[in-house]
Amino acid sequence: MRPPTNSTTFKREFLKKWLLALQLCNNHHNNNNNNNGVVERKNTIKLSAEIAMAAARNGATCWSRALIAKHSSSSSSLHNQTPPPRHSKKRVLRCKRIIRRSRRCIHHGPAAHGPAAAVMRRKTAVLRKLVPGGELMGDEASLIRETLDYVTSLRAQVDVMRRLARASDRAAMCNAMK
Amino acid sequence: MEPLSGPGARSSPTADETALDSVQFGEDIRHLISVPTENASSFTALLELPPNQAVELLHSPESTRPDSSQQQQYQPPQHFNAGLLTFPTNAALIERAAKFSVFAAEEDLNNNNNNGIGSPETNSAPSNSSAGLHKVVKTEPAEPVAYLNSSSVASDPTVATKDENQRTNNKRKEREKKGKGFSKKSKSAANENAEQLPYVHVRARRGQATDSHSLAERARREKINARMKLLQELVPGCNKISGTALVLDEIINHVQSLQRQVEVLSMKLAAVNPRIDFNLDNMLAAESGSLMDSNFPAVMMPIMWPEVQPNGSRQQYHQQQWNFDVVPQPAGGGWGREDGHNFITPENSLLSYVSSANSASLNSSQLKMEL
Repeated sequence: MRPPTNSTTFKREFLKKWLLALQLCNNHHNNNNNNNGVVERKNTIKLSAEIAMAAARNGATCWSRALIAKHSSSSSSLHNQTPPPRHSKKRVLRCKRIIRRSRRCIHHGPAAHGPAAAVMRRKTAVLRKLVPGGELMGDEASLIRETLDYVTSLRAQVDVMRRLARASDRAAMCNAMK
Repeated sequence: MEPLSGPGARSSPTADETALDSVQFGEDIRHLISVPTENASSFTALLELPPNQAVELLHSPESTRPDSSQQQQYQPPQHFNAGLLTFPTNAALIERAAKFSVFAAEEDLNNNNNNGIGSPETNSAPSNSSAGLHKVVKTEPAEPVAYLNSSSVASDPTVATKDENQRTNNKRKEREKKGKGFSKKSKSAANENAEQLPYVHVRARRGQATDSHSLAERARREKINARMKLLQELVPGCNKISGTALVLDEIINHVQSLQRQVEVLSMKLAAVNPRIDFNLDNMLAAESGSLMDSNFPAVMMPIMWPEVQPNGSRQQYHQQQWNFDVVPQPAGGGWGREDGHNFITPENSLLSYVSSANSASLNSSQLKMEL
């Protein structure tokens, strides 16, 4: 079984990687386009945070690999430095197609056609869209496992970002008061 | 080798085997009671033994089998463990084995029972029993309730046999009610009676259907439910909700809210415009150790510049980005100011990136190191 996410070490790892990824992203964007607007900056931050969160998992989870694969195709500079994703984007797409096709002829269990099952299926579809790499997973059990992991990592990420924001607010306040 | 000539004994018709099954269980259980806790896993495995072999074993508990290379004695538990079913005493594997009894323990035992289908799985040496377990057990261990019963029964080594017998007799009756209730989950082993190969046994609960499909389905649901329980604990406010659909709703909401929070926070961080000092001695690795405690906010403060540009034009602000440009923007004009840095000690500087242009290479090498 995958080792459980240790919160503190994960946060630490995440922060480390985030800072580095921020710099990388920034360099990359400076090379490519104008990185002046707040929105772009936000996107850079968010993107780098996502990548860092996924990288902090060290590819142990499917969602992290899917995230890295998704972003790796868009930024080649990151490609050299992040660990090579297990699936390139093409492979990811192909996997998705295959899984979608195979899911059509899955043998559903006994309660596969009732209205309750339809509800469940709709909800799992929504969850699949939310969780990165969710569509790649064939069965519900692994989807739930990935969701678990993803939720814990998201929480840690939010925590770190919130602390950062709060600290910067406090600093700004201190500065303003002087 | 095996005292029993496998093929000959195995070719007994299925009815015989079920009868033998039912006969041997009581003996099984009784004998296994003397087995210490570690061998809890072996209990279930023993049940999956070929009836003839198990009968042999059971009827001669005292005596070692004449030509058995392994010591298949019941009385000394350690011998039992070593001989018949060498399950690893790893707790996780014991759990698993209690659930899915895998007959992959002994080469010698299995050699006689090979009929081709399960042979790759059966030819596992004792040291490979865990590997066998892994191979055969396709699903992650969840914990169906039935197995807790079985393992608890087996893990009472010193309980009086009478009570055990009664309890196990009840269990036996249950099992008999289900008929050949040991259906397999593994797709490889087709005929559960004719062979005693490592297939995954899922014990059917009382009063439930025992065909392989529903059992597989049930095991799958159980696994999913176990995970859902974990998720319920994780997501706040989910504990009281019952019903998978509602819990899923909550989970979806939670994930969406977390993602939205990330958006908001990143927007907020993007709007922050301190001028960050970049130290040459980038002790990022050293810093991150101190980051995760409550000192975090305190750490941030020394980093911020004491002066905030009151009239900073939008351009200037943009130049001084939170995400540390390696190449300082000439129009920003903030990077050059190095005063007031001294309070930023290496261990405290959260974001100490080099600001000068020639540090780019240093950074990239550091990045390579980090990533």
